[in-house]
Amino acid sequence: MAVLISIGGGKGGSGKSFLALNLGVALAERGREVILLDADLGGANLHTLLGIPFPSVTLEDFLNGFLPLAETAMETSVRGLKLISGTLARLSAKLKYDQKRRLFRNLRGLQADYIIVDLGAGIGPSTLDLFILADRGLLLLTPESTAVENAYRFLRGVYFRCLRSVATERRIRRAVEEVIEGLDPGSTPWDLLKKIEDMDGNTASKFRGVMHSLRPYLVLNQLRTRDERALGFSVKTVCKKYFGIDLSYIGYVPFDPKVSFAVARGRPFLWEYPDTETSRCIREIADRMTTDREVTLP
Amino acid sequence: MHQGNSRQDDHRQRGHPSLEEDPYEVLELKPGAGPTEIEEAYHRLMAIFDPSAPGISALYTLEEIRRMRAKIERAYHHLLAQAKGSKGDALPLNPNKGTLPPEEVEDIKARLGRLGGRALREIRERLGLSLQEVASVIKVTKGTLENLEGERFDRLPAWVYVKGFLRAYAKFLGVDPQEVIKAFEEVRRQ
Repeated sequence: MAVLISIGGGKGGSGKSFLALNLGVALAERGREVILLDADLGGANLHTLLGIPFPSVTLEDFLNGFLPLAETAMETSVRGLKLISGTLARLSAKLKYDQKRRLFRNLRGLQADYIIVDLGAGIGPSTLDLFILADRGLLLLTPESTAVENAYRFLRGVYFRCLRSVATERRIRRAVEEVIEGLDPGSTPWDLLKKIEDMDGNTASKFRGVMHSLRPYLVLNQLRTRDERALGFSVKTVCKKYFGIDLSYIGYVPFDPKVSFAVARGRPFLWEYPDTETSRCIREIADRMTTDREVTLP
Repeated sequence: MHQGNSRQDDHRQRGHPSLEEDPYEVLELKPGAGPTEIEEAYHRLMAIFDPSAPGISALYTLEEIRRMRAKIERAYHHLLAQAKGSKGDALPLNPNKGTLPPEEVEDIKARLGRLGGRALREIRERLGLSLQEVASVIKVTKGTLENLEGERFDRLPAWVYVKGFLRAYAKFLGVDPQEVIKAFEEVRRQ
């Protein structure tokens, strides 16, 4: 069965589509079958990065029931890499409940080694659910404090959404909702989990199990200095201490102004500039992913 | 404010095992970590939980950061005291690097004529210790260590402090503090 990876992180412009495409290319270069799914509902542009201005089929065809999901995956210029284009004319970034369920069920039926889902910005429910559903979420951020903030908020959203999904008992659900709705400000995950433990130990341990299995990947993008690589370890520490979530820091990508040239030509950066540090780092991410290793600095 | 605190404390006392305040867990260290590792972890975590650290304000209130820093501080002092205590006072604090065999120290002393700054430097280098490593354990700045090794009294504080530094440094290297202090005292008098 395919490994499902969802790339998110909250902030727009952090390079989610860029990474989705080039990571896909790097995995395809290693002989893996890859399907990219553009799930940036309302802001889709993976097709543009691949030089396809008007995709003939899109995710919308599946959502409307015209085509099976597998048939919306088009061949691209990259051998071994297929694309399910995002919907072009969509105004709402929200999926209807049954559309979401159908999408999630069918995603698991796709034939590939890797399915890479490019999530949009923000912490909308569909975005969070696609992150949680994945075998591995990939949290992407740039070193700006605004991007780090959004990444933390994104994880906070993931955390509470997971918690809500395992909380079936009414009073526990209410306690979780109160925190989500901001009615219990200043309540940390730690406080909430403690409270739930007192109410129902079973739910608490079930939840801990879910969080333990989450293990999202962490990737830093657009680094301007080598020192900025260390930020990955800091984010890892904070997430462990605050949420109890173990991030797996699998790579960093240096900033390269040539990225915009590759975008303009509608060709993967990895092909246009294969010998740059940036391309090398993306390949390293693919390697760490396939061998389950993390970044280590001397 | 006060109410908020007591609520937190209440939770803490009833805390569950994995969220208990284990000093090793707080500093992300494995049991048996040496003083240098403890020192490094402490500085790393204090930088991460700095109120101005990128993004931290999205999760923690200022009060929570303050509490977290206090927790790191406690863990650090606890582990450092433990690491020093368990090794005993007479033993050097650098268990990984050990000490030089006595005949090698005698050798250096004979060659240089005394157990002064140059000798300390040679012993340190033979043990493969950087100034930074020593500095972080014996709580002396790198600059001060350099000045000790260079016997530059004009750049060092009062003699009573220098004696303290020398004692710590000598102990750390596993050589006799009294002999080192004597060697320095002779130069100082000249």
